[in-house]
Amino acid sequence: MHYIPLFAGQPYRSIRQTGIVGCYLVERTTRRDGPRTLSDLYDSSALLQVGIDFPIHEVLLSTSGKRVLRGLHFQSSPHSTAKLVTCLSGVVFDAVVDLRRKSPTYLKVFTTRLSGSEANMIFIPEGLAHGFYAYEKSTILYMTSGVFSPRHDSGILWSSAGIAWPDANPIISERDQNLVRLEAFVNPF
Amino acid sequence: MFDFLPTAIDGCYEIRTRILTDHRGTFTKLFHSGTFKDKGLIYTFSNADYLICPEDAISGLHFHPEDEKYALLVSCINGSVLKVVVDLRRHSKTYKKVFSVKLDSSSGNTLYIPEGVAHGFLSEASDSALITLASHPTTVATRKGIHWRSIDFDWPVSSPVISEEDQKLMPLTEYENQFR
Repeated sequence: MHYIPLFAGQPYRSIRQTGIVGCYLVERTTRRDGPRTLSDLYDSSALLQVGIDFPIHEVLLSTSGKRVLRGLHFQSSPHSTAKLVTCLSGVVFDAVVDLRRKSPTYLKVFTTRLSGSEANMIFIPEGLAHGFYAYEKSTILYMTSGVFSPRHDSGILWSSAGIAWPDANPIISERDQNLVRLEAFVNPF
Repeated sequence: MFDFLPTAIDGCYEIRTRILTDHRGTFTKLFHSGTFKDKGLIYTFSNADYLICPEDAISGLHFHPEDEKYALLVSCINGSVLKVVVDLRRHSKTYKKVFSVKLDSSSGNTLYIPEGVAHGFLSEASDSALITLASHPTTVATRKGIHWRSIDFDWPVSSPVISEEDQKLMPLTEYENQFR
């Protein structure tokens, strides 16, 4: 996965395509300003320059202990949302699956490491399921283009999508453990 | 989901949110556009920044000119900061009033700051981390500030760490003289 950056400079060191259509890896710039260390998380005009039209409607923060897995989640239409996900501290294994039936990368999986020290983020378009596994205590920030809708909040079982997770027995919520398997779910996309 | 508490400064709100905790960790909502819209606040944000500050560092006081609608939303997600704001809107009923509030990761509070209100903070922990959402990008042309020591506030620190740029900001009296 060594695509040429679509964008390089301020505020992002790079924006690169991943193996899934419309899904991008973004590296943040970190700079010193007196005693402060600053990093741009979101810059709507820089994202628009590479064709990512992404308004923020919700910002969510989670902390997860070592070996916690959250996922795989998505919201179905009309409340499907794109997400910009970054790791502010710690290290996570991040995974997405393309659930868009008409996509050339349908059912393809993309995984990457996100960490506070690498200051990287993943942009996830609508129609992908997303989850992550914390290698250590980690803080994850989600910026989303839609708002949470309990009726449209959905998911698929973490272990059913062909993702090579680094842990076969992670700490997981009962709800996530009871999500439907990929082969059994009715695709809303 | 959010409690909006009025502060000593007109149009500036402390917002309390709930932190959900389970065996995996915590989950917090920092921003939800519909709730802000219903409250009559600015709810479109074009920029988000992350900043980390050592203990005893002061940042500020910065403000966005009052002739353009603007909002800044500040959350502390690690450590603790004493956030200080002062009203610089000459026709505001709370002109020159100062308000301070402790923001920290365990209380789940954020501060909503409108245009024309200068803001800064003192970091009270070794690695305080803040997330800010801004309705407009900050450029050199729009970046303005006043000196942290020129306002009516007793900073609980004797020799803070501060950037050269912030140390050179004009005192509040000079700001007031611009309008004489």
